[in-house]
Amino acid sequence: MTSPTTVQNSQVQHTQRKYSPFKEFWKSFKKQKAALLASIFIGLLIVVAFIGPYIAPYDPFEPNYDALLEGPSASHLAGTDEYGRDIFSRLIVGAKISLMVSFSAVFLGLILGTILGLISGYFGGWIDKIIMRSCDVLFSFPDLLLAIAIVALLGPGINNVIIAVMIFSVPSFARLVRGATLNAKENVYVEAAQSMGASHVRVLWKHIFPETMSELIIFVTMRIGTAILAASGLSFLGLGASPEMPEWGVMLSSGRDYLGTSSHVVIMPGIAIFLTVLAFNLIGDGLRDVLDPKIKNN
Amino acid sequence: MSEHVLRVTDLETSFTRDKKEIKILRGVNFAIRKGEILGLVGESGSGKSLTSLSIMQLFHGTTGKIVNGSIHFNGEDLTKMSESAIRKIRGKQMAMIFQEPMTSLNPVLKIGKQLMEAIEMHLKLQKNESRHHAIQMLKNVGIGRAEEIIYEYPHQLSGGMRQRVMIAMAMACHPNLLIADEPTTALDVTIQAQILELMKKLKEENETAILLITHDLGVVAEMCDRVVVMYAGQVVEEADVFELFASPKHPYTQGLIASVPKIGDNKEILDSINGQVPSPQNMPNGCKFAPRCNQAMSVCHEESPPTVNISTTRQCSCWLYATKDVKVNA
Repeated sequence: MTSPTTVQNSQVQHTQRKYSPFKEFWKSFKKQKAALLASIFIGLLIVVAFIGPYIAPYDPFEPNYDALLEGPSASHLAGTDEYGRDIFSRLIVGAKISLMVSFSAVFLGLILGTILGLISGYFGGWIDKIIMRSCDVLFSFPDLLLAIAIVALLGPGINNVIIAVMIFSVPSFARLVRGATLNAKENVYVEAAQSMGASHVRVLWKHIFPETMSELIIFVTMRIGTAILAASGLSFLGLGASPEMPEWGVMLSSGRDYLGTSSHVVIMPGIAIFLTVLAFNLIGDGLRDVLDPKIKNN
Repeated sequence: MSEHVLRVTDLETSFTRDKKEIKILRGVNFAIRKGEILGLVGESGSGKSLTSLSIMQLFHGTTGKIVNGSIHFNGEDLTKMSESAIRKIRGKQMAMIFQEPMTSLNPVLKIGKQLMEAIEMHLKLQKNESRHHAIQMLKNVGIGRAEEIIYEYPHQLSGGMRQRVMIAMAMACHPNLLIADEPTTALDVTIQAQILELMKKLKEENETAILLITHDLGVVAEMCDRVVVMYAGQVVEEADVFELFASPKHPYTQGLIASVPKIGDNKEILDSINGQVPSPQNMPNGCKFAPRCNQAMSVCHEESPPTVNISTTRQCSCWLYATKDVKVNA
């Protein structure tokens, strides 16, 4: 009498077992509390970056000579700077610059690095050697030094900072993707796809690129943190955003003269940079725990 | 009889290592007729799989290269074709099934997507039509829940089901030639029988020629019309399947057939051929099988044996059947 019910059960189970990769991902990502918190923070930051100018309590560019270097208070949540501008408003508006610079630099680096890595790993031979040796050359410079050199060459400005940060991201992406590609192209299904007449571009795009995705996603989040630091660093050195811009690195830089007397001018943008970079790294760690199959079941 | 779908002549394929050319296939000859199943048997390392890869020209990422010979497929020489021309043939006119059904499907793509990829590529169908065609193909290979399965991922299917999907994919464009590289080795025996039966059925419906690569002589006896026996990158014997099992000519074939355990034999130790296939770097002079052959004569160690036509359907490369005056095709 049990057999009909078991048959029914298995049928019911089968229809319920609709597989969704995103649901699966979300189920494990939910458990990563720190990463979840960090993603909420970054989510808020992105919203703020978009609507910043509309919610900022003060005009970030308007000097107020009645309130120079005031400490944090109810009217100025993060205090004011040397021109009496509201630091909190400047941080909010500056979030857009920091995020835009780091996102665009990392994504440009991602695209270029991924293409180079895929080509390098898939085709091998001399093309692989050329790409990888060029990457080695770029690797041999310290990241920031390379970025300084590039900006020095191109001239200061936000766009050039993006290019500089992109250029030093490219070799890391290329190397990562090349490794994943070397792994992926050994799969029988790659050969099977070729045996079905798929072109190289098709094989690369449909069968090999998806294999590199999980590593890429982790690396991108980590890399955005690095890019924010680098962009702020360049601005701090006067090579990035122009001095009146509410960029976080610029704020650090212009505030450092008042470090002894009104430290909040430096501490506030410092905290903003610190929290944002930390959040991106935490997300990266969380994603790695979820996406890396080697540590998945721990 | 009817015309040949595939004719491989003097095929030589080599790999390069440390700038040295190592020849793996050393003159392979055989032909397949329309709607025929040709078995390609031999030990591991005898060059069976490389023969199939040479026919498909799937050398990407390796140093493999065809150095000599021709592969005529539907009258055209594949070795003289451009990569893009061959790509149009692959999957459409000739397709391949691999040994490992567990890994030959991309785990991150749904079954339907992978099937439709091949269909859209070659048949130039609209999305709806190709989905319909994919479902039809899955039904043809005996998958009842075809409508559901196209939305499932490979890990949700068993090995036998996955091999069915692979066959459906390979047969999707009704190829003239299907190369099956040990299609049932990774499957258990009951599923093996079903898959073989399925291949036979599809062959009869579509008149597809099948090159069945296997080292399972049971499968050969069950499936094949003719058999080509390979050893160390050469064809040593070619025969009709009944003739081959009734009276194997080449000592290597005799050894292979003798090594199959028979039900009722109460043996402690199974028969085997001593030794291993020689490595391509140090091939013996003369007949490549001579060092392992129990009927070897002095001439075997000195000179390669000629290919002797024993009858119209049989060929064998062995000194046992060649007198000095029969030395025609050497």
